[in-house]
Amino acid sequence: MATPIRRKKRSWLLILLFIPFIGLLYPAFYNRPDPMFIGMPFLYWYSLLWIILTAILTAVVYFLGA
Amino acid sequence: MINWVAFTVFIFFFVVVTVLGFVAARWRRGNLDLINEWGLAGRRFGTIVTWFLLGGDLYTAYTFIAVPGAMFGLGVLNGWFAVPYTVLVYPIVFILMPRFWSVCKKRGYVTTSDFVKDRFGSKTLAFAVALTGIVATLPYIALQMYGIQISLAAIGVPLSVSIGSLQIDLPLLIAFLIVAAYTYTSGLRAPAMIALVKDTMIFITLIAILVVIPSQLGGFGAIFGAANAKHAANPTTFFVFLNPKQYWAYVTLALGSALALFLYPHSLTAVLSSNSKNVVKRNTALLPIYSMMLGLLALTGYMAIAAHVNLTTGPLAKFGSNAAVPALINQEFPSWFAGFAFAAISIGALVPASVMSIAAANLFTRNIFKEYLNPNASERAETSVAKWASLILKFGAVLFIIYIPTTQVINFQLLGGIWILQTLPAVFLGLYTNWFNRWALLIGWLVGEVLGTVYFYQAGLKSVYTITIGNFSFPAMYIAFSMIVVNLVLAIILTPIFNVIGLRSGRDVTAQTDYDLEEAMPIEVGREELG
Repeated sequence: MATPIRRKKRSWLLILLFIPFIGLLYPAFYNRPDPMFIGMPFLYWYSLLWIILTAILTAVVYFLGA
Repeated sequence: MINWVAFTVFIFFFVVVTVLGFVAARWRRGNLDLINEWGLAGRRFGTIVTWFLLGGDLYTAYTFIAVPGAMFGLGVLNGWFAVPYTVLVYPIVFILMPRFWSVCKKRGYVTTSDFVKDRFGSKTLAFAVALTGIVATLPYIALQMYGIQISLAAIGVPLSVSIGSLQIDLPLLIAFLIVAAYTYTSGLRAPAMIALVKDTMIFITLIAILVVIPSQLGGFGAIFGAANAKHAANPTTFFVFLNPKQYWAYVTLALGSALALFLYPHSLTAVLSSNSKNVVKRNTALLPIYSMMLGLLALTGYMAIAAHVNLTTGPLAKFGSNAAVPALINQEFPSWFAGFAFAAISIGALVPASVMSIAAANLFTRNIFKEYLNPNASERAETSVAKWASLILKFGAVLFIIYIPTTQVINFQLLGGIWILQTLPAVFLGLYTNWFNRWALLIGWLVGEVLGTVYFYQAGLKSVYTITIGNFSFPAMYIAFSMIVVNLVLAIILTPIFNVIGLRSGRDVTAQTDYDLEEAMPIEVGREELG
């Protein structure tokens, strides 16, 4: 078995993974109809947007090597 | 009154998938008498296959039925929490699952219970985790059968057939026999292969729904207009926006469910079948594609409102709000596409039913059968027991869904969510530290389970409950969440106490380096990426 290579761990990147929690766990902020987007109230498109943002954040953390 | 066009299309795809299930035994050949091969597909799957398998496993037929159904019947609190839930799962998985994958690969663990036993040196705690896993999974398998039932009903297939003087649920029984047969022969390879088909079909169905239906209904403005009108007509039971008193419930439902998802045996089995922890990490960035699918699918619940689907007459009437999406598909699409869509949903049940039964069978075999009944069982005997266990579990699930009222099964499933979260301290925190005393963990688990169940009943068989101590009322919140807090507090307080009074911690057999396995295996160039 080859000696494992220890990559430099950038643990601070993991903080990025907390951002979605901040974005979604305070409904008072986004629980409203306006501003609308293609007829969707803010509550709904904001929630869907976080799917995309979280995927991007996760990809960033993965590639930068946490 | 069978819709023959839809039925023919449905049967065609079902046959394709059945053939694949059996062919899968030869895919990436391995000795299927070994439990690692049958139960974990030899831990061989790369990024793409894992994406299909996990996606097909986590996003179940029940998900496709129940989430839009909840949106249709109750609105944002009960249906839309699924979106933040499915968003928050993946950062959690990114952090925890590579460690879990590593220690299981290093030590040859097949289940969470294997891990817990070695980490905390406690057979009792391991048994508690195994029991919880099995019991929480059973209603979930049953609900997949429910997904098939609804699809068949939507096509007009009679659910029950008279043979002689007996009423037999023949279609469901046939579906069960097919799944049981290929799961028995091929193990985890079967649902993995079928997931390739399932997920493709689901995405096609969803895209079709999104392309066709909103424009027919007048756009999202009109769809939300209809939802708002429903709220105006039912101001206390249906909500498009959250009432501030519901914020805690919404947040705890999302967070509690996100924490619980990867404690379920079927999620972990799919994770363990991948060939490296990086496959797991990559998938946390890729699986959100399914989350978007789920979010958009949830909105079909509101589309069903705007389309004025008829849920009061016809074969779908007995399914209540859960019939919203099937009714919408029947109403807005030609028969041939409806057949395709219902095949997608039903096949969408086969993948998780198969994985769940394998996962629960793995738990039974390793952590109950081998641990207590036959410690000297050979690997071959182990796998044989697992194969039969998986079959019996599926059969039990079919009986469950036929003879027990669906609302009861749904309640079991909700309870299962509360129960499984209580294994978080032992499993998730156990990945980082062995500080906890095994007896403290056990007590925390037990209190969480018992109190959680009591509160569920006191809430009227609902998952959200207002805990009151004297004159002080906590805001109404998800029972699983409040219970995990109680669980953790107990474990933290009792650990030092138990250590002092002599209830010793068990011996941790694992090593620090086990949790961070760098790839030691040569990667076949090019093949790894293709899974």
